[in-house]
Amino acid sequence: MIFDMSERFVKNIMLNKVIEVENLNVKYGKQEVLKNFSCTLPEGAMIGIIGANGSGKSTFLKAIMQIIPIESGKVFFWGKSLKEVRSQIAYLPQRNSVDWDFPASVLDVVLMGLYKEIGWFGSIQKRHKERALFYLEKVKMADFAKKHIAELSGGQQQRVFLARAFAQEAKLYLLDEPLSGIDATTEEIIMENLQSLNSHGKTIVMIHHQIETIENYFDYLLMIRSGKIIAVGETKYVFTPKNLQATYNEAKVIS
Amino acid sequence: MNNLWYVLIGASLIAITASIVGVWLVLRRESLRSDVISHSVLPGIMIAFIVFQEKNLWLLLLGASVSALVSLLGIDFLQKHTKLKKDTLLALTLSFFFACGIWLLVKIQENKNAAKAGLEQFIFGKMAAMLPQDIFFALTAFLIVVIINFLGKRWLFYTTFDKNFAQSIGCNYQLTSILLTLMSIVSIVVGLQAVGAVMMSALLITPATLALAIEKKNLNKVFAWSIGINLMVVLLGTLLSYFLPKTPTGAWVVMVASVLAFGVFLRK
Repeated sequence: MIFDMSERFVKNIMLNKVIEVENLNVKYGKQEVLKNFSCTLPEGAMIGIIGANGSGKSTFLKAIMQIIPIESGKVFFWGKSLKEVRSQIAYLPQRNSVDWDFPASVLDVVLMGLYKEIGWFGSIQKRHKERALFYLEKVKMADFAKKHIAELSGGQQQRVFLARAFAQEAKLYLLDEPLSGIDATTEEIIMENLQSLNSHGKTIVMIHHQIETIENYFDYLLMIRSGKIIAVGETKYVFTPKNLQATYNEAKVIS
Repeated sequence: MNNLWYVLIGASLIAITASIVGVWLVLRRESLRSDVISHSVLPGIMIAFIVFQEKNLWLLLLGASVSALVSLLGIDFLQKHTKLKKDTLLALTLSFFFACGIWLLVKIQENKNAAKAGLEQFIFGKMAAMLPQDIFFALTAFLIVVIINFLGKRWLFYTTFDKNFAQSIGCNYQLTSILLTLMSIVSIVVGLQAVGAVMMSALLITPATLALAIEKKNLNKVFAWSIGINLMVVLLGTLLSYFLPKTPTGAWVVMVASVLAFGVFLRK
């Protein structure tokens, strides 16, 4: 397993840069949330972003996707601007940013991910619905297609949103806490799918909270504290007690 | 075709237009915005009358639209430059513009120009005053809203349901807000004469709220319910005021809609 991972590193990782961030600064009002943030993330890796609450992890993803305005700095995806490669990127926001009262079924949500195919003004065809069902099946949610999105449990909702991200058929997936507040079965289903995508050369960047699973899930890590990078690099080199302490400002046990 | 038919066709067009816009306003939690628009059109109507000295509907409604736009831009400006909360700002702006409108109306009433008669209809509404040419105006507004809704529906859906995701795929949230504001102004302005400034927002919000309480899963069905309820309420209100000539249409419509709403919500 370790050998496989290293081999993959040699093949893909380090050769291509998927995200390059130069001196990114982001403010909420007068508060600086990201300060001179610079990093390079490699293509084809499973990349984890870790840090305490309020450290700027979600802000980082939102800023590079231009969901929130940036003060200064540059962001490139595969050396290009977001505008040029937007369709190659799938972003999964946190669950609390969604309006759960909206009259939308599970199928409607996944169909959103097919926006490139359907077009802004096109009508939804049978083949689009079949595609959406295919992605729902991947996360074992096809039986719930007709349900209102608010009728599902937190874990089920997360799976549906992941199916929407898969439907985007992107090269890069930016996931904001896809594993928070879900049960073990859902976590297993989500990780199986993400690892399968990754084994097909897709880059996964996800914000993560469980220290115990970091080494299993990620081959690259971005560690953040108070809007600054503590460490960035291959997990085997940067996932150290010293960096963890610096990231969380307290001792965390690596088991 | 007798006058009642014109009134019923006009009322139906106004009802459908308001229903579509109302659903989006309720879904985006912007209901109060419609109240601001419907009240802030009044000074625009009065100023247009003072300037042109005639009751040309197009000119009056142009004044109404400009006035509504100024009030909304004013809210955005104050939101950026003060620490007042949005609902406070909306309430303040609404009452300020309405007060200006009433003040101007009273001044116009003192004037000897005979054309002033009927200006007060913009406050309480009079569906029976609808003329054949007003149908054309209602049809124009109906078409504008239907076309914007048809073209912008997916953008409005995505930005309302999941704003961050929508922005990540390149949906312009600001643009959808502008489209909704435009639809709101058009639908409110066209209903003013019929329902009146004071009650116009109820025509948008009450049927939409009812529709959302009845149908929770399918957006198209929500639109259908909203349109159905609104048609029923507006036609009933119009007929009541038509056959009881000295009663205001707007008040009938709002009373019918509210009784229906209370009934449905209390049963749920």
